[in-house]
Amino acid sequence: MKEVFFAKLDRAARYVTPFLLTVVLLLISHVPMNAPGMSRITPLLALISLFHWGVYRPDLLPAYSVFLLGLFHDILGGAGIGVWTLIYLLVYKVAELQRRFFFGKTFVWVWLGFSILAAFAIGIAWSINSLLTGQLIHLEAPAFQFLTTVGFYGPIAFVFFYCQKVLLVWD
Amino acid sequence: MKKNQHNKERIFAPVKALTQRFAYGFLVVLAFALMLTGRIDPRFVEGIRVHVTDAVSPIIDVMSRPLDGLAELFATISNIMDARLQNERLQIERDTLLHWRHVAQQLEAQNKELRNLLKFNPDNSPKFISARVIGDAGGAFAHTLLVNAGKKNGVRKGQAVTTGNGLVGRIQEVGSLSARILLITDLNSRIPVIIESTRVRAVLAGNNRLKPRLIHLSPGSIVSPGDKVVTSGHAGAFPPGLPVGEISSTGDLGIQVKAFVDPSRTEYVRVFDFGMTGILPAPEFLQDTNSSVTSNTQ
Repeated sequence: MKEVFFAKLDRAARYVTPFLLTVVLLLISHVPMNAPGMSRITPLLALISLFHWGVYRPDLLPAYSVFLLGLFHDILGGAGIGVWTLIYLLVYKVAELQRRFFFGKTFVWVWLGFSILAAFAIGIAWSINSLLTGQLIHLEAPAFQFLTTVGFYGPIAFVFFYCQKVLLVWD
Repeated sequence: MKKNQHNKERIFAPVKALTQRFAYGFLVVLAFALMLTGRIDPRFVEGIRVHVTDAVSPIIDVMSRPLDGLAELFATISNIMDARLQNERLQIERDTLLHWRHVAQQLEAQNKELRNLLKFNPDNSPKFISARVIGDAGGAFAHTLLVNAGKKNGVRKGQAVTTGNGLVGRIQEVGSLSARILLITDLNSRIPVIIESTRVRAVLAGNNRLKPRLIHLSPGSIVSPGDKVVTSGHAGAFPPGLPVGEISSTGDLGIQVKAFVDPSRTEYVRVFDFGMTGILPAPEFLQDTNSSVTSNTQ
């Protein structure tokens, strides 16, 4: 009986890990860095998380969790609601559909794949925000945000692989 | 028992398969619906946002504390780097300020005398609420800050937010423990301002870049780089005379204003309570005034 309980707890912990890690990343990206100019170009850390789990373990992050994460991003940020919710869902789906392509590929290929997807995500965010506000938003900040997001992919992915090894043993 | 379970499975299995198949599409539609709701009924969205932000703000507050050390490090490094230049500049500034102190003392004495002559009744001095910046929200598409003071501390929608140097923005949303500041650089920020020396009126419009622009200047007005921009107090949004920034360039990009405050380096702000309702009157304020009117008539 006791073993069943712990087995259940273990399963629950596995299922919750990717979600919680993404929540933590979302919170981190909203903490003021106090570095000059940094606030406007904070990397989209949660996007890295979505891509990673979409490619490697989509079974651990269901679509409704992705929806909730996007909603959380929209609520924390001050821009229009629903924008990042939609983008998160799209990014996750594309990552999940293309996952076969990334299997067995070197880090550089995966990184390149992520860069394309991040550009696509920030592009959509820019278009929707421009539409919602009725004017073309300057591309400067989104471009820098893209660069920092791509730059942060390496370290974050490293942490995720470590978590996968320690917490979520490959079935 | 087993049969019952089998029946259940028989009924729910197709439903489950159907929901799994359409769950993704449903969520995408829901995201679009949210976007539309945000446009049609911003108050509903604001309500949700305020509650969630309130719940999360203590966590972000705790997370942001260790970063204060990092901020100090950045400040120290930049201080050391330009210590000599800073010293020279400060000496010049000190000489100028000493002169101004002398002038101010003279004027104060004169002012006092004149007030006595006129039996002038001064305005109530404004109260302010100090708050710590806990969140740098918005990213590339919105310029907002989260602070750890809310309705409980007396923060109300529309109030002006400043630091010692000048205007930061205004309160956009208020929760009970946290509030969101719309920075003057945000795309949605419009602030009635005046150029201090020439008294030319204009509107300071944010454009999601570091330097907001001046728009709607009266025709024929002349502006030049270095002119100081202060709030005009028109539209009742802000008290007049709060320093905002100075004109940095008047080129093809329009008249750009360099703000006196750099929001990315702001750790503490002052929320001013001037007793003004602002261009965004809070519903509770309207209710308060209504009730006070009725109580007066009774």
